[in-house]
Amino acid sequence: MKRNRLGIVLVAGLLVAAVAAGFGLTRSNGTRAEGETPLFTFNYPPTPTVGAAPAGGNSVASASLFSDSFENDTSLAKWEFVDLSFVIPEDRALWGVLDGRLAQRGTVGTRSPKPNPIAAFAGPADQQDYTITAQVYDQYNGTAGLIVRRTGDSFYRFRTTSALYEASPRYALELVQGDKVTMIASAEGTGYPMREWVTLALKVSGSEITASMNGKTVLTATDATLASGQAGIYTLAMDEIFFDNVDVTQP
Amino acid sequence: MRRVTSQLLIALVALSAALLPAAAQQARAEGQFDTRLVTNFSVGGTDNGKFPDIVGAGSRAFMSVNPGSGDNHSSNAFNKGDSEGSFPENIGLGDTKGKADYSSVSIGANPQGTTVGAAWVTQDGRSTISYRSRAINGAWGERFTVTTGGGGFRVNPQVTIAANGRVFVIYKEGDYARFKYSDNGGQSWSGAQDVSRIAVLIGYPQLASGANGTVAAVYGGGNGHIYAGIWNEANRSFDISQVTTKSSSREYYLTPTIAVDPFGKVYVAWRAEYDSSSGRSVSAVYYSERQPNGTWPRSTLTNAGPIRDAPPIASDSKGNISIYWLSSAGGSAQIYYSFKPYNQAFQSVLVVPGPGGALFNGAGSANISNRAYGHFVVEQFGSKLTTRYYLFSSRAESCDIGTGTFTLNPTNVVDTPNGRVTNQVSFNGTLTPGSSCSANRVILSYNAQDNNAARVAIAPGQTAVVPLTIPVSAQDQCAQTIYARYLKNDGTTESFVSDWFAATIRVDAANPPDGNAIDADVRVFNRNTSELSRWSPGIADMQTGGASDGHPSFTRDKQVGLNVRDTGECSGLVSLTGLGFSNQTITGGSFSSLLGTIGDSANPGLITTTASIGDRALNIGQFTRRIVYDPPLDGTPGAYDGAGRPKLNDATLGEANLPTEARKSIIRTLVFSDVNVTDNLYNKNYLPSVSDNLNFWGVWVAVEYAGSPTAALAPADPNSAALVWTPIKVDTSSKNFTAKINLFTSGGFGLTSEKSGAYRVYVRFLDGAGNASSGSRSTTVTLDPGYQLPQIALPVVST
Repeated sequence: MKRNRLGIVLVAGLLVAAVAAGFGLTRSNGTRAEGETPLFTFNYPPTPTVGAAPAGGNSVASASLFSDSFENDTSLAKWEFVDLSFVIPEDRALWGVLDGRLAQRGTVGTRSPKPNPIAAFAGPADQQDYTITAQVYDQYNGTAGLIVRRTGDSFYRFRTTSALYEASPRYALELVQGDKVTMIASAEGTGYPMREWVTLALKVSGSEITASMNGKTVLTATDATLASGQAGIYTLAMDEIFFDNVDVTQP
Repeated sequence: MRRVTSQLLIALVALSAALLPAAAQQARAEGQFDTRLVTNFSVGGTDNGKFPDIVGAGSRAFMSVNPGSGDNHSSNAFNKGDSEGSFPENIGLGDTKGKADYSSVSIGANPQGTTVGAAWVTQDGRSTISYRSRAINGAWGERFTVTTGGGGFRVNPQVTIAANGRVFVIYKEGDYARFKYSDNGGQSWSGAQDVSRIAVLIGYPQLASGANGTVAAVYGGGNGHIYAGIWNEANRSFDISQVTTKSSSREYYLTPTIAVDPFGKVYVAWRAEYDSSSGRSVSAVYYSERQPNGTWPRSTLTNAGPIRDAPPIASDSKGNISIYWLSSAGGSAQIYYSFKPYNQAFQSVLVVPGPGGALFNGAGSANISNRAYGHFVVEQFGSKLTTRYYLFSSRAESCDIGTGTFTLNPTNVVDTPNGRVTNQVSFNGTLTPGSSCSANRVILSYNAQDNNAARVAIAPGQTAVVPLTIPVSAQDQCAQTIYARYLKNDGTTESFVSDWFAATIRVDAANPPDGNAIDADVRVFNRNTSELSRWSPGIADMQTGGASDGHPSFTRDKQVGLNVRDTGECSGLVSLTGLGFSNQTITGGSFSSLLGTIGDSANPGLITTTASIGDRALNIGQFTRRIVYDPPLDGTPGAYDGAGRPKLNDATLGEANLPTEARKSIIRTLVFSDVNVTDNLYNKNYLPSVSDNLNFWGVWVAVEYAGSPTAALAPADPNSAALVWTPIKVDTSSKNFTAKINLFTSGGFGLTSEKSGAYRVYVRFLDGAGNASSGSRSTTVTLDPGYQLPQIALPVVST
């Protein structure tokens, strides 16, 4: 136990030393960088390549209601992208298919990240009991989630945050009805890891709602407010989060 | 044992690192300017506030943000001393409605750092923008309405105060940036105007003002270009220029910020965000300083992205630039800061790891007091949305060079209509800094801003008298601009602490390299020359006893012309002495006169004369001129018997064979053959260009008409008093030549259509002084009826 703590402190100390050295910061020669040679360069390790998402986790016995692995841009036509709060046009969320994945890329105008809640809906609009699973790779965003039984601006939402944020709770099941958000279940935890593929699932069966991450149940709740509706994915317009292998299945 | 020790040391280092405030560990001092992160903290009372803004004013920092919840927020202003570690003052300026993103507040100050203003918008159904201001040591004044209703959805108001107190508010309304200004502290406002309609606005516009009165705006266009506008006081609008250029349509530039330094230099920083044609994601920060010719050269500060939002750029009151940007290049959000000392390069970047969570919508400012401070505020999104503040500082010069002076102190100075003139090339200059200053060197550069020019040591902070010498290579030019620039040299490094000062003076050197202390054209000339009017329009042709033309340097009269003319004299000609004049005033750059008598001798031959010309710079130039006195020396005046006349030894005169039609022309060609003329003075001895046996300057032509188309010519009489003689210059080195004449002009008849018939043409030869030969030749020509009169009188020409 002591060894572990020391190890953590050592890592922190090394990080401090690395930062104090400016990450190997270099400044180009000359007093002024004209043109395209950057005045400041940084010896950061390259951003990890986003690997392929692992195979989907649904049972072969499941009946598929909807499935998308985002092979190309035509996938976008299957989805309804919704900004869940009021935004002016240039602050709308920017979505796209990138390297066979659905990518959230900030906002359309300045490409800037904004913590605006956004969602993308797909599949049958009147389904009652089903499970939505999606694989998520978060590069910089910090928030991911799934939605079930959406009709208009009402739905059940499972959202979780990455270790990027000091968020509490880490896991939340919420009933969203317009601007009104009611927490129906929550849990603390470590959240999901950044820059790894994570499988999220949200199952609704009758009044039972179950959220899981990487196959482990993290939240359960009972609520009968919403009887049916569409499935969807949820995040913030914070850029650089990828979704893949979205499946909506019936047991 | 060794291993235990090393583990213990590592643990101690790690422990001390862990105990120190995180930011203090992470920032590192930067070189001679000692740039460092002083502190950073989350600002209390900012929950859920969007678009925090900050401005350094005087020795304080003012911050604004709109904390609240839901659609109910408050525009708050915070205030602290520039080096303080907290904001002790948090005052609500006014409540706002609507989503926090669209009910933001901004804060700005005048360049003097004495007044602060805040503008905010509330989405009350009328998108009302309000304004309040205060002296930095005073209280916030009453709220004024900048604009309300009557327009579109207004968001993101930004404010600055110009050096003259005019308040500018700029905001996004629909697709464009609009602005209003107030000349009475916000009580009333101008009508709303578009900053530009060149391109739709993406993001929101920014403003800045400088101590010299410059106000500038910048915005990102929907076409991916950056546009900057400089306030045009005459037009009461912004003169817009495009900052960016693209090498491909994929390039996309956005989120610019702008700064104006105390000297009016305008700086723009912006970022790029696009996917290149190869699919590579391009994220970069650029910077440009507007050039005097209005161009915007681009420098890339970094391409380590992803860059988040705008890179704030700011100038303090001494012209030191601070730039900030947010990047997740290291895997998580970090703050990057670089300090650019006045007129020097950007210093190394300070990288400050973020506190966790996401950072966006940063704003930055700068001020200078005991050090140069950089203030940066940013939204921190973690467990909640709050405002985080970062304070940087650098050692910076506090010289108030901007109000310094540079004067030149030459001796022998005279004031002229064109400015002060001296004839000295070495003199002193005086540099006086605006206030106490540690600069201890001065660069002195002549007619160019040369940073490598010679350094002169000066006493720090004192008025400096520095010796100046115009370089020999520049002494021939008149206007001299001398540049001086302050430096600080600490023994190992040298840094500029001021921009260039310039002082100009006209230097009319007493001993210039070309030897011409006086730049003048002085001519002593034959007053009968046809060039007289060109040289001396004030002198009348006083032809006597000879041709009305001739060589300028030969004269048959003792009275000759004098002309003095300025040919680029720096200080201007003022006096003439000699040639019968004593300190004769020259005005307007020229002087013309007839000299009563030339030289000391009445004997024919070369006469040398000397004139002394003076200029305003007290320089004197000696001009020696020569002229040949060549009178006809007739025994009897007008008798053509003098030894001074050219002697016609041989010549044949005729007319060129003409086709029939040519006989209907009054322009005729005389043909001279086997000419042999000698002269006593107009020869090689006095004029090398004259050929042997061709000692003549030209011919003297007279034309006699028979009287009617059918009349016969009277017997030839070259001595007839009725003949009118006309000189024709002949420039030949051949004894055979031609000359064209106009029968009517040479005959003095005027243009008439009734003088067909026979003509006799007489010719004498002229020397340079206009003396005609006693010998002559004549020939007859016939002008056929039906001849054509020229529409324009032709000059007589020779070929």
